[in-house]
Amino acid sequence: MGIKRKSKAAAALGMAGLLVLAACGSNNDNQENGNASPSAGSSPSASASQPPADPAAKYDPPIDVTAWRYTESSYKYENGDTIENNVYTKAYASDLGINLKYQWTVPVEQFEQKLNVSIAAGDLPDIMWLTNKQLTDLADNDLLYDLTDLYEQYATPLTKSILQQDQKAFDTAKIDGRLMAIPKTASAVDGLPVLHVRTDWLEKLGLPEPKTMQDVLNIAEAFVTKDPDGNNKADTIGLGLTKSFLTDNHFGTSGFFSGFHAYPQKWVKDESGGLVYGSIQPGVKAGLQMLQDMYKKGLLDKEFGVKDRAKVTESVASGKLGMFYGGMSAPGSVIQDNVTNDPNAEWKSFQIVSADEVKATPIGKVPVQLYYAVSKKSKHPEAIMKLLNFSMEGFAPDAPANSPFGISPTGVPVYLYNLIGPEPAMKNLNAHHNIVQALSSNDPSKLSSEEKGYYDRIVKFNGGDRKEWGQARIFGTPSTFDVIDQYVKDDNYILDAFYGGSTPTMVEKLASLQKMEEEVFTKIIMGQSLDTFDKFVADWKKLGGDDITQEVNEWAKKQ
Amino acid sequence: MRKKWQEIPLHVMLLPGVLLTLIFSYIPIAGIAIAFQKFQPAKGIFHSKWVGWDNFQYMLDMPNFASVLWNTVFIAVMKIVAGLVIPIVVALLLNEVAGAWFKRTVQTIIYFPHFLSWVILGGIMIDVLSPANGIVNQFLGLFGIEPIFFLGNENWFPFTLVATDTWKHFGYSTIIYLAALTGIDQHLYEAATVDGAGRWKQTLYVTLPGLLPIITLMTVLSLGNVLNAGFEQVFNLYSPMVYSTGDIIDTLVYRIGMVESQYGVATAVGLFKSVISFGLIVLSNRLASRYAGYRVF
Amino acid sequence: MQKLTAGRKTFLITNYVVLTIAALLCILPLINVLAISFSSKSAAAAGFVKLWPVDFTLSSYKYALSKHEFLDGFVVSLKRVALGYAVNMLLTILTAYPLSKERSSLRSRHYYAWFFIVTMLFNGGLIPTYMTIKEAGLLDSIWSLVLPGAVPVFNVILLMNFFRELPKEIEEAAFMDGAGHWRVLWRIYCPLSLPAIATITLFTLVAHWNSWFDGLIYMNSTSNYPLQSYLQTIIVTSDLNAVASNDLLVTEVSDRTFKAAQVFLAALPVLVVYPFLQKFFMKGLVMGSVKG
Repeated sequence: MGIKRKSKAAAALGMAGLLVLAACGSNNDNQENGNASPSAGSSPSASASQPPADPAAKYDPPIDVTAWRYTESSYKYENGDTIENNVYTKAYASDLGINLKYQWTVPVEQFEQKLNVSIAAGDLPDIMWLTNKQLTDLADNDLLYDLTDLYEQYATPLTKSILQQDQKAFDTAKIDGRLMAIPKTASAVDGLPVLHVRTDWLEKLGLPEPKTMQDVLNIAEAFVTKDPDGNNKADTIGLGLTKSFLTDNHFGTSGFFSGFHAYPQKWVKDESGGLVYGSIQPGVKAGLQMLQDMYKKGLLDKEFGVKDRAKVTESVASGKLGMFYGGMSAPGSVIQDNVTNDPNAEWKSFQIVSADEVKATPIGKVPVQLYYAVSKKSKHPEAIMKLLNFSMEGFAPDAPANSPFGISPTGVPVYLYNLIGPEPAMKNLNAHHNIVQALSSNDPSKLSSEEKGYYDRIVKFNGGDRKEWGQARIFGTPSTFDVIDQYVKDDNYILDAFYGGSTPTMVEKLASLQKMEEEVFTKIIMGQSLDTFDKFVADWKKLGGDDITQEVNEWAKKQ
Repeated sequence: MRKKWQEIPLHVMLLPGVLLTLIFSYIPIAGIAIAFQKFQPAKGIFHSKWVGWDNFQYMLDMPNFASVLWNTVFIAVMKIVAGLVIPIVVALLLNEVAGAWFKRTVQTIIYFPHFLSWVILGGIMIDVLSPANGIVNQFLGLFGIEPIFFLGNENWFPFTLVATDTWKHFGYSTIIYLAALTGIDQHLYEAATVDGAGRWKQTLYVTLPGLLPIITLMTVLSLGNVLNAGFEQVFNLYSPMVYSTGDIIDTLVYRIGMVESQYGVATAVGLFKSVISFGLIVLSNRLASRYAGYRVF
Repeated sequence: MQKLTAGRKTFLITNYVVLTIAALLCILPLINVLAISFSSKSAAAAGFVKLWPVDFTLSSYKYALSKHEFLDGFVVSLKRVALGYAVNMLLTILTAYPLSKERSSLRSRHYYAWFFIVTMLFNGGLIPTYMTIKEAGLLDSIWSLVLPGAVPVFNVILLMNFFRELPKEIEEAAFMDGAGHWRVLWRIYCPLSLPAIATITLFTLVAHWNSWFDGLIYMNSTSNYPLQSYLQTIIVTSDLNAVASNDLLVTEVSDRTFKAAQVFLAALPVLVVYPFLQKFFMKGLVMGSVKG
């Protein structure tokens, strides 16, 4: 009866605790209801009561600033650091007099949900990480502090130059012309698709590097029929796709369809200047036709329709797959294991290829996925500007190398702890240029600490450590950024033309329309008649697509 | 026989449970109001716009709602049936095993899969069920059966879901029946042996009737799941190839939420599911008490 | 022991074969996960690992155990299971006993019963529940993981039905001797229902150990996450940030060995508990019958 006695005691304890808590609960209830709703409507004029201040002045006495944010699995910590307590939070306190207190931090997967419940429950911290959707929602309900004037007043020239490098991205944070948040700007070109090919296979089979879509087809065919891995089994795949190929960055089809000047799932300008939905354009049909032929010939994995990214990565790592369209990070994230496993494996990245005489143009997205907003009730709405200026100092041309705010000597990406972290539009591409230069001159002294982190790993690779191959093929040369650089030099890329929140008809119909699209495209590739595509186009228009197109164009006119 | 005040200890026993349930279940249930709102987190429950039955209308108007509803019920009912029958059979089979070591080992092992999440199992299933080199198809090949694309064929997909789900949970569910088996009076078996009944007859006339109450109970309770086809499993195993037979209410709601968090619609769908489940449970409780003579609640 | 008939023999052999196959089907995937957890990262990523580790290494376990989130989560989970089990078990027994009575002994029984059953099927959804927890001041507290599910209705119904099956004669005799409800419950019902209580113990422990969603929603920092909530965040990787430059560093994401090790470490405690509880399911123990 030992179990029972113990449970009794513990349970008695529990009951006592619970009654106390229940009592507390009802108290809170009254208080919250007492003051939450009326103040939501009224507007405290904090900025008016503040004297015009020096943008760099330190708060004395220090102030408390609350915030919420997400973290990612790539965040690493050392020396007892946490997201609540690290080199950044310490610097905020010592340099700015700001004690940062996180109301909550959640892993990114949980962010949207936690964000919504917290907003619904009505307690907003001073500084909020928001997505476009909640930004619009909160601004519409007058819960956000208008940052337009504070930005003018406080932002340093350096800050402005970085944030407004890409004006279009910056403007996504404006609602009716007012700046309602600081956008987390980043690089649009980082997201452009690249063609990754196993070059040791190309050499073995005596194939040229891919320059046209026909080359891609020939390579895929040779990779399947000519036994590039030399095991006398027909077990290799020509082109890698996942089951969500329309949206996936790695093993996706964005770069492939660009070869047919088609842009599924993106909005593009037509000849008349209006916006049209890429998935219903004629080029898509040609692309699908080619994929269907490839599937028929066995150049695609027969089972691609059920495989996710981890599963296709498995084909790469086990040396069964030698070509796919992917992002610039692919060497590090999905190819590395192949190179580790197979001492002969070598890959190279190429510009996407065209199916005709016209050059293929890759498409990316406006690179703002996150906004930093300030609650209307915040006592120190200008604090965000000080944090912002502080963060941007690291990007100054004369910023000290090896600062403690980048990547630590042991390779921990400390810079991710930063609360306010917009990036210059070409940060990673610049890092590539700087690193390549440092490599050729053997002089890393001018590198930022983040760049130095990459540099050190590439040096290791050059010394024979194949585990750092991916790093070298992203930032070194030859690398994926060589390709991206070429896109930029040629000014050969476009961006998704629609970057607003969901329109009313999207809210209502988009889920069904997307389901239909994924279903039809997958089935066509697997052999269903191409006429289904024409039917899909008609259905798409009829089932809400026309309305969405109209709404998107109305949105575009306002931009 | 006994007087009113003799009930008092019983009320006292119920009190803590009732209080906690009131606070943590009934107060939030008031939030069902969201089903009738165009709920915006920024406005909260008290200020969001009331829209009457619009969310329900939206649900019924979705182009594929009827087929999704059908998929859900089809998959869920098959899961319920398999989830009832297999564990009972396994419990009975285990009951016939004489060796305590073997019995314990098997019991312990079949309980394992319950602890592997679908995220992990998803990757394993793709390998195991692969038409090219999956072990299941290799086995079927021995009997001259053509490889079957269990995860990619829309006709097979619902059955694949049922089979893998049953596989994952049967060991865990068996425990309830094993516990119930211990409650059967041993004297009944002795009496049956004296009457000359063999093991088969004992199973039929002693064991099964002894399990009947728990079987009834599990059946009635499982009817509450008739619209739950298992989100986590379907989400990790399905693909555009099998949308037509594999898309269920929960995955549909999830995808709608991906476009925009539509709490109103999600709550409306939840309420719809609750009402139907509740009706079925009440009905089956009545039927059980009328025909099996056993009242579950 | 009586002599076995031919039919009985055939049955027994078939039975052993069937159960052995079932057991194999259940254990092989687990062995696969275990083998992956002891294999090198690249071998696992390539799918080379079947039932035996390739390039044996303990690094995944070392890494998993060196992460403070893992150990923090483990401690939070232990606390949660201990508190949750105590509260659940007490309330299950206290609630099941009165409900197992006939209407003649408790006239309002049906109202109580339906009061609880309704909560099994209806809930207000995420936001209202979150707001209730918040207003109760339980956010970021271990009690937010324990109190909302304090009365596990399914278990109550299960136990109530076991209680009903107990022979009424013993109870009547006790009442005759002047015992009250409390004594009857603790001294007669509970000891007689050990198999049922063991079953519910197992269900409760497993449920608390395995639940992850509430932790993610109610806790405000990763250091307060129960183990399963933390595991959920690393096992389910997101493609949301495909464009973000952080993607450069997400080499861990494809690290299947690490995940496998974490899954196995997390499942181990509940896998170990079962054999200990199992003896309560062994036949004949309770009723003190001949087999003993």
